[in-house]
Amino acid sequence: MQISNSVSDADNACSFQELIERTAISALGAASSQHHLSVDDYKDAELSILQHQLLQAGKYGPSSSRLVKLAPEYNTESKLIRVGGRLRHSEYLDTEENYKNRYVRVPDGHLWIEGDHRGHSLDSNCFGPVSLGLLHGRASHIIWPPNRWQRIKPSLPPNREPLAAEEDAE
Amino acid sequence: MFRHMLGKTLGLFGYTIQYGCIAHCAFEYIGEFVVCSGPSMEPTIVNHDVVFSERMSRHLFKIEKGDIVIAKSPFDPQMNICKRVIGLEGDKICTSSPSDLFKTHTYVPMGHVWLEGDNLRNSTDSRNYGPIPYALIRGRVCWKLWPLHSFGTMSETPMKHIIKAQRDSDSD
Repeated sequence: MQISNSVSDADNACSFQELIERTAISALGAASSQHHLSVDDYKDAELSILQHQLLQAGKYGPSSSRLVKLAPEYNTESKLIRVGGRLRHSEYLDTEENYKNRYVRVPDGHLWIEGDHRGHSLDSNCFGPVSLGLLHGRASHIIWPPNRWQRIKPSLPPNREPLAAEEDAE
Repeated sequence: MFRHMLGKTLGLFGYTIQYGCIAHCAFEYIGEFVVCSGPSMEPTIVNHDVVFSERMSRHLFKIEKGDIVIAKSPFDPQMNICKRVIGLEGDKICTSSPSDLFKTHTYVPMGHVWLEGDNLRNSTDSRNYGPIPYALIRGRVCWKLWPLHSFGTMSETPMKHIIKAQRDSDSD
């Protein structure tokens, strides 16, 4: 994954103030002409300059910073920071579970629900198991538009079978 | 003769459906009678008390801290629980007991409430299973109907100091 760095070349600026100005303006991009720079914009610019300098020096910031956890590499020619890691929210990703735990046991009286469009769905991968008492109903038929009249058949998507099912104790 | 009987039966059937619908709407939107069992809300509500819980404040999202609510159990949708609301969404709740050395806190997530019974020693509530979604709440208990000697609105919570502490920590 590539994050582009908007820090302008440090050599061209005459003072730190100018460097910050340029960085903040380039971070805003096209909106900079109509937009007065706010305190937050300057703070963000300072932060990105600091990280840029640290990366160039080979130090990747404090060990608790989230950037370090992604194993960053600084490419001096393209001035890009490359990171590795597992994306949590991305429409292009095709992983089984974007949930915080790899394996989940669904508690008693709860359901695990997922949308069919996996990358693009707000479902149990975001908010966890859902209590049965919140269940409102079951979608059984599509009635509109008329060319999509059909009975909705219950089916599990491939690869989404539960890994172990609880056997009912007699 | 036969048509007369048929007419009367259909009339009776019609009235039953009408009154059934009115009763259903009343129980769904106005209020219902609840028989409480269990020791978790003593001394406010004891075993076999009959209370009246009103539904409007739940539909209008007017449930507040300190209200006693009837909610569906998060682990068994056919069972109901009766507890007091200690915290609403966004509140900071102290989860450690007063005897603990280190105090732990949690924040109630969006769309959830934190429930605790008045009888803290003998109650399974949010301290055991966490905050419950607001949509599981069925109604707010407003009157106690039986036993007759304690008829009337619910007495002030014995947990007044906890509710007050919650209000103070909110205003921080």
